[in-house]
Amino acid sequence: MDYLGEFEQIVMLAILRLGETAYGMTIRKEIQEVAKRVASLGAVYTTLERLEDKGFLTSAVGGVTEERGGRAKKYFRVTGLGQASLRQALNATQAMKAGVVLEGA
Amino acid sequence: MKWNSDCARQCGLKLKAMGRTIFGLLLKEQGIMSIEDAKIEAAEIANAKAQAEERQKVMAVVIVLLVVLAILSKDASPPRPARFALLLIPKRNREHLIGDLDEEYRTVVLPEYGRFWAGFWYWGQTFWAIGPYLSKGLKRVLGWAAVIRLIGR
Repeated sequence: MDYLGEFEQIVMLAILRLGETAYGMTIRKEIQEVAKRVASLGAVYTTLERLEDKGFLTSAVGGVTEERGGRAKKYFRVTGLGQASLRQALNATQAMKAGVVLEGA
Repeated sequence: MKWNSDCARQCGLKLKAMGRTIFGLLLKEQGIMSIEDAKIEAAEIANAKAQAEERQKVMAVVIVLLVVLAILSKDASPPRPARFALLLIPKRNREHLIGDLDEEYRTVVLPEYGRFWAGFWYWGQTFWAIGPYLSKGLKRVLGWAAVIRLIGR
């Protein structure tokens, strides 16, 4: 199974939090608001492509709206394999963190 | 083994090297940096400083460029040259990415910050959107160049 990088984990968690409304713009906003991390749409899309290639995400093309200039949205969902990989990565981080005291603010 | 002047010189050099190592270890133990370490650290600091200055210069140029491009954008629709630049993004997600950018531009940035800052924002997003794809393409090209170079040898 492929290992997940830190930003990949954040993107997958954002998709899971958003549920049915997860597409490029909302994923970027969620990361910005919850993780307090500024990410460009380009960075988000390259990560989404990589995760889709690994089989961790699936996508579906949605409706067209006027404010998007007639362009369709692309909705993302985390697959079972993706959830298993994410669980493994988060468990590994938690296990490594146990007993470690971090100094500084 | 015969003792001659060459042997004496070799022994002298070895003793000198040992002395240096012991002296270095003692300095380290006392928390004092050896001259060589201090030189290396000074060079690293100077290098980091130069890199930071270089980065600041690039950022300043990018900001000036963004301001000029934002001034040049005439109407409320997303800047056309930026749209053209976005064609560098691979076809797979290009339409969706541009759609997302347009949606945020029209629904959030333009009503909240006005035409000038909205144009500035759009150009900034365009640069950051193209960046990861360009670096990915560059890596691929460099990788192929390395392979071709290896085959050519």
